[in-house]
Amino acid sequence: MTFTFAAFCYLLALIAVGFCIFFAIYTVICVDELRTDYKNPIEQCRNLNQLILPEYILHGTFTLLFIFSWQLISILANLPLAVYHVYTYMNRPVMSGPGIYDPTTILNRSTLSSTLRISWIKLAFYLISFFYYLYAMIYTLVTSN
Amino acid sequence: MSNIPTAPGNVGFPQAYGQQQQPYQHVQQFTQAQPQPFANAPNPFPFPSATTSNGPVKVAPPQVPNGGTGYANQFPARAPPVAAPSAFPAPTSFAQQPPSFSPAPPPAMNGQQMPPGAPRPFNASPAPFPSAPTPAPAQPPIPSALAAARPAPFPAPTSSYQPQPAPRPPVPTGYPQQQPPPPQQQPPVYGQPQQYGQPPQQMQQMSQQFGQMNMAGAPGAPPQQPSGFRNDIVDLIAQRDVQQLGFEDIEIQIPQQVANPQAVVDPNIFRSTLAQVPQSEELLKKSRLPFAITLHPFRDVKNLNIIQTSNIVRCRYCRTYINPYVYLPDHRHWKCNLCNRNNDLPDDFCWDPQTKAFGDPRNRPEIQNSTVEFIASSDYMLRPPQPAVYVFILDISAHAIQSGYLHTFSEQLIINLDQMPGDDRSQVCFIAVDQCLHFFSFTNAKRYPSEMIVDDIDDAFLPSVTSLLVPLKNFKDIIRSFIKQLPEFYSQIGPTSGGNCLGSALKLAKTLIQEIGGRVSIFQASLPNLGLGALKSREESSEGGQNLGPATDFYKALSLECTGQQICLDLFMFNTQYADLATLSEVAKFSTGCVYHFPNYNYRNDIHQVKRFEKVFTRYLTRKLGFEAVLRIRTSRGLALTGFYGNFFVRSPDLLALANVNPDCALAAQVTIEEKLPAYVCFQSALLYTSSKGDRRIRVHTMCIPTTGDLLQLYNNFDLKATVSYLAKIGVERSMTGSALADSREALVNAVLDSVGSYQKAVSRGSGMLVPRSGHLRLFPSYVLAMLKHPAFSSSRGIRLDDRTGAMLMLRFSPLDQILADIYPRLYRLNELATMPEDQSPSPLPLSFEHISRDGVYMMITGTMAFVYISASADPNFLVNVFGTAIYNDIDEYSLLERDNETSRRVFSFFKQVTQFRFYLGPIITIKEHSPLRDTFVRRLIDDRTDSTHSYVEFLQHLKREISGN
Repeated sequence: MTFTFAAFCYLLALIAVGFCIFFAIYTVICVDELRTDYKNPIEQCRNLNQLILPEYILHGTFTLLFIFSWQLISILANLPLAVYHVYTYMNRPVMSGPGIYDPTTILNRSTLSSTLRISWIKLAFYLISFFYYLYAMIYTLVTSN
Repeated sequence: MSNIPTAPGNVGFPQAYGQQQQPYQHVQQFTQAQPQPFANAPNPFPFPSATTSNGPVKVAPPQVPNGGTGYANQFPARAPPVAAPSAFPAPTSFAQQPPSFSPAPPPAMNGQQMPPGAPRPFNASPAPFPSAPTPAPAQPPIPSALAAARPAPFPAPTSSYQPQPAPRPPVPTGYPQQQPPPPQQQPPVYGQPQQYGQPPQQMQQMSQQFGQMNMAGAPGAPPQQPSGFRNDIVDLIAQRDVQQLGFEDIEIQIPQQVANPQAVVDPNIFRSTLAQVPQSEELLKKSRLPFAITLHPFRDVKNLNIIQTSNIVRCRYCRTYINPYVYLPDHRHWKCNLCNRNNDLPDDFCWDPQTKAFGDPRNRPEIQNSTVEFIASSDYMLRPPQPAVYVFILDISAHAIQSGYLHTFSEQLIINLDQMPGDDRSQVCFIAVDQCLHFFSFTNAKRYPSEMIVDDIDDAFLPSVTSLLVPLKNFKDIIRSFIKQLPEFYSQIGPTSGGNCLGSALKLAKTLIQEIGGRVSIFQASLPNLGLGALKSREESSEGGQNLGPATDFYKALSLECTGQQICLDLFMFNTQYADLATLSEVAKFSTGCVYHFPNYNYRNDIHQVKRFEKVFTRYLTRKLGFEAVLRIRTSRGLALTGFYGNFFVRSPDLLALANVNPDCALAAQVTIEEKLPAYVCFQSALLYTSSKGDRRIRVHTMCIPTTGDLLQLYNNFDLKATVSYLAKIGVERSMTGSALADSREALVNAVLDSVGSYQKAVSRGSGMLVPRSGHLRLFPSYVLAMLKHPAFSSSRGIRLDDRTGAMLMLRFSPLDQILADIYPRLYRLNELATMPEDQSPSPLPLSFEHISRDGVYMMITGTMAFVYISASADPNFLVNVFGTAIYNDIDEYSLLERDNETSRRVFSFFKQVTQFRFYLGPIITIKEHSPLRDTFVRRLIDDRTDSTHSYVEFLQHLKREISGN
């Protein structure tokens, strides 16, 4: 049992995905607040937009680490999301700061519901990957020698 | 916002009444004419405390046939409470057709109702009319049931309140007010015969309907043929004169069970694309018709009912304002028509100011009118009402000086300075912009203001705190002479007029008034290329993009900040060269601003533009204005508004923040059906604003629409006017937020393909372009074609980017009538005016050159222009009367004056009549057959083909191919 690079990647990914789960939960709460409460969309979008780049960078980093350590299953699972992140950021509305949410359009029912749906899906994805990384880390630790 | 009206206890009324003396206003003042100072407003309430703005109490308008007790005969069919839809006849019964009514119903009418004021002479034979749809007073009297359903006169014992009163009219099924569909469209299941009404009532009803209808009685229409089976369906390709069948508003049939079925909201204010709403989402999907509402919340209203009351009656649960469409089971309760829950009615609501006694709550203006305005109490204020604040930001760069807009600006501002809305607290500020910022400091009411120039535009600051924004009242004279000298002062291109740093000016203007709020009017003639928010020309983009979206979010962020501070930014654009209107207009888009575009403005060469600016600017300065407004639109349960289109900021899913509200902006909202709907649905918009006099007011519009389960009824009740406005706004929104223009064009074509195609499927007839003869669907293709040719959506490459953007922005905030006129101009032949009887006027012609004859004089009204077109061999008599000369060659653009003869007077009164609410129309432009301007006129004849666009017939063929291809 040695602490291989792959195991190290999984350890980092585990921590990173923990943050991502937190971000996803926060997004879900914020968007739901927008829909039901009279929160100011400008502030709400500012809060959400602050989290976009950190999340994307975290996710991109551990995806890269997986590529370096060549963990095929994890790469296959994470690449589509990474591509989606890049695509979303390239097609974001015109804005000077970081972020993808626009306070003037977020309250459109369709935008709101799709944002909510996406953040739920992401939350589920991060949760599943959290447990998978845990399993994979232990598995790598146990099987390597 | 939480003044929940507490219901008074069940005590004796005189005492209860006495106890309810409120600190500053009591409902008793409905009748008493002593002015009462409004507690929180600095001014005394400007209206003499009566309920209406114009004069005496208008609680029981004379047109309502019966106030008081007599109503019992009028509304016999008042039904059990709304909350029990199941207690109602099932929706299917709407379609029941009373056989006694229609031995041979003229199918052309299709059960449609047109407004009473429609100009169609009714001359059809008194053929029995198929339906009994009017909310006419003539209903079968049902005395016994009525006595039970109606409460005793006030004070009524509370026991008479029956939430689910069993006694119903003995009519077993159906409300007579519902429209039976024409027989041939009637699914067999609906067809049970039903007896109601006696012959004399039939006659009465018919005459009612005849008074109101106008359908096929249009001049060009064939007479009604009672037996023709297919006459209610026209093939657009075979019948070219569909325009002639009239384009009148569809009358909404309001169910009788509501408190006041006579109240109808002005369709120009509140309108749905479907005058009967489908009962379920599946039905809407099946019909493939768009479902949206258009709202013109602050439209100028004559005879507005202004109500000052201690207690604004609202639903305890959903905060709906009481309105004519609630259900009043007795004098003590009301059932909200939006959430269907029961509320108590305050005792003072039954006070009838006319009889000076407690009476029927139906006489209250809130119940009598679907549009009312409340004077709000301090509960509705977050801060004391703000004063009117006006900031003018004037471009004085080289381009601006060349265009010379300052001359007209100063001239009109001096004239209208006293007419600007506001009270003694009004404040003004002037900022001029070129390479530097120029502020004008008014320190002394006698001294000419000193000009302060700030050249550090990236880090600009306000040179003075107190003297820039000054009270208009104290400085009126010096401001007047300052404005007067302004064009003179900046008539030369100075050393600093090379650039334009608008962004910095806006930032400082915001800082200056952010504690108060107000209106910033921006006058621009060039591209802001310096300082904050500097822009680069991107008219010819290398990527081939369309550049209809913004280049930077500086202006949008600023606009959002301004909205938060109750500042509205309006943009006047006079550019000759590209000035990136798409980006600059962001300031107006989210702060409820308006954008007025005057391309190639030049005060020397372009008299029409100058005149138009004069007119627009005068209207802009003098129109009503509401500050710090919010607009909330509530809907019945089962409906939801899913998208809003217009200039404002969506603050939460049903609340729009409007920094200022003006009478010339409107919006559209998309509606989705989430649950199965009851027999009727309502929409209520409540606009809370601070009037320019410094009091807080709530303007409430309520619209009631029946629902239907019949697919074909949907097509008959399709409202094209609202649809065109909605489609234009949604198309503009999409194009400006990144979608390709081609997608918007395709979406427009798909809208007409879907609706006509699915109608085809519904009637399952052969191919062709089949549409119902009545209703608006038959005009849909020609309006969509017109939209495709409108500069906003046209695929032509000849349209400059700023002109296209300007056209789009106009569609974005304009109200319905403006949009309709701009998309499908009205063309009239004036010659007939000389011979027509006084009470008639020419009907609009199709926009095709085939209708322009060699001897005619025509008038065309578009959204921004009015043309008079004179053919070469026009009738000399007419020319003499109207243009002062019989010789065609002598007529020039100054010949059209109001002259002292009958024909000329009629031409001008006709012009006034057709342009009544068009405040943005330029002067009449006279175009002769041989003049170079002829092209401008001919281009608007949109049914004809041009090099790159379809003609109407070609477009129909194209649609037909597409429909049969699917």
